[in-house]
Amino acid sequence: SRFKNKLVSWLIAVRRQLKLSFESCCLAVNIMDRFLTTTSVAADCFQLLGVTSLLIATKQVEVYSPRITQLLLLCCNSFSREQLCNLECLILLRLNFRLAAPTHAFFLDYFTSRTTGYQTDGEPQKTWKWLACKVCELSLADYTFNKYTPSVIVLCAVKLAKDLLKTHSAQPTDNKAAQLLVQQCTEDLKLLLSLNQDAVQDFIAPLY
Amino acid sequence: MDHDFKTRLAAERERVEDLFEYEGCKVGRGTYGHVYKAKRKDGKDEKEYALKQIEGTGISMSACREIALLRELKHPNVITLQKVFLSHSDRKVWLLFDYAEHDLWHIIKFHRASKANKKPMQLPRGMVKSLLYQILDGIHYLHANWVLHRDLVKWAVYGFLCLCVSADMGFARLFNSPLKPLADLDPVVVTFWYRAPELLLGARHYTKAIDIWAIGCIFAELLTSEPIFHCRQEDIKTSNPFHHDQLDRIFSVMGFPADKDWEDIRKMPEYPTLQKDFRRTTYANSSLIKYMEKHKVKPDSKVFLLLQKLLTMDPTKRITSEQALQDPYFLEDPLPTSDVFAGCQIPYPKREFLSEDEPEEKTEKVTMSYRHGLGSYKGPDLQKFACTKNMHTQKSCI
Repeated sequence: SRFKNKLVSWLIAVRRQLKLSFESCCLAVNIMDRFLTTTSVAADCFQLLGVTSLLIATKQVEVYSPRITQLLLLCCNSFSREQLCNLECLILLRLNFRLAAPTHAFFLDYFTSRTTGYQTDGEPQKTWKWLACKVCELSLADYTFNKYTPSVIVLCAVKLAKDLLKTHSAQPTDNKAAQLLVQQCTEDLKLLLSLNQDAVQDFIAPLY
Repeated sequence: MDHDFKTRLAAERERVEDLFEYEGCKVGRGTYGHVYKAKRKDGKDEKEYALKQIEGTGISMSACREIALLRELKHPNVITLQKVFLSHSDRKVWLLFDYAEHDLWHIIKFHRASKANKKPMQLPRGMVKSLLYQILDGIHYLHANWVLHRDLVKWAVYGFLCLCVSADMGFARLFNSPLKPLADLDPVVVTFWYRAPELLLGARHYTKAIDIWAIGCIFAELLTSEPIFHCRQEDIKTSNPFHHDQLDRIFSVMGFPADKDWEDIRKMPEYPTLQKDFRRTTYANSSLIKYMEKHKVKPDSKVFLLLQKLLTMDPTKRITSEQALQDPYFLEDPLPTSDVFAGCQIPYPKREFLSEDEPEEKTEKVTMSYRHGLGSYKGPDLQKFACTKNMHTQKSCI
């Protein structure tokens, strides 16, 4: 799991570098996780698996996907083009081409549009959306959060972000079981956040 | 990857040429690739399959999307992807579908030709109804899951035991409610004659209503054996959506829309051009009623009323696929059947094999089609497959 943490953090950096959407990143992690349940991968191939998943995800999500050479360069050319293409085929076959997955990015958009609508893209909303996105990114890298569905994580992340920034008070849900789940997930997210304070420092340091 | 793993992998890899016999059985060719009629070599079943070899090598973006999308779709009127083969040696992608001997395009072409040869052959009315019902049912399933088709004429229809549907989903794209302007991706979206007026006036978002208009056009064509908005096609590759001749043709069949019938027409990007180029008075004598009466369809019949609802100029007033399926037309005898050829002879010729090199005639775009298994007919309310992203949302947000 230490490997995964490192790899996902690296992928998030790659995503920034290539200016890809958050959605691609979420989907890549999803593809990677599902592939790992079918096949065990040697530690030295982990990075290759990361970029290959990212490549497949971008083919689904982006208007243009990055060049393979570009991706290989990011791995310091430790792998060959052929290796990447072979792994791509293998992943697709193992996943049986099931590439549509509910992602964090989708729910983040969904919840933001539901609370405010797309038109009012004001400054406070941008801030909490950014913070929530950051929290989701951190949660991607951690196996703890594989037990929650993306919708729950995002719901909690949005709530947490709003609470931390003191913008809105979130409405509690009626369902007891759901409440418990949300509480537990929020606690986990808080722990995650406190462990990674430096990542979000600019935004919430004054609050702590 | 270690050596052991490699050998194991090679052993479990299935090669399409080992499993299927398809040599010399090419039935279609197009920009999407090649299609073969295939049979199993091991004789596990005697079914006929369609094998599509995707043009180009490697897993292109559109191939990747097409396969991922087809994997998510499950409906008796929507083509089922049976299997994907990735050929290791030449990096080709093969898709395996069920085979369909006849498709919608085939049928339309056959009747167009028979009319042109002065030996008009009417489609049986029951068959038209069944076809329309199945098209609507399929499109409703896609729309309910927010999949837009974008090229209806490439719809394939299979008869005999069941049903119709579609191919070439390479351009279909899943989308979430606030659309991306699809016009940016592909300036020529729907085949010209079937293109809705709002597209011709520069609408930039691809909507469900556009598919419905195309279905209306197909419906009219099935009834009359000629394309309702037939128009000379020359500069198909143009990036300008405004197409004078096509709009002229639509208005000369339908009449010019009255202000109250389509209020938002003023907001269309090409509205100024429309005002400059067209006069309402030119079309004062045209109406869909008159056009269809010429083809012996009475204006008070249920057929006509449904056609009118499908071919409504204002996209916001156009009927949805769901409403159309409830239309009284489908409750009137003869009821739609799950086998579109029920009780009639099939006059259409079987697919011919193409030789390997001879280039396909340009105008004769062969559309591939597939047959779905023996699925029995299911009512329109059976669309509850948790399928696309949007469905996931609905489920998990309740």
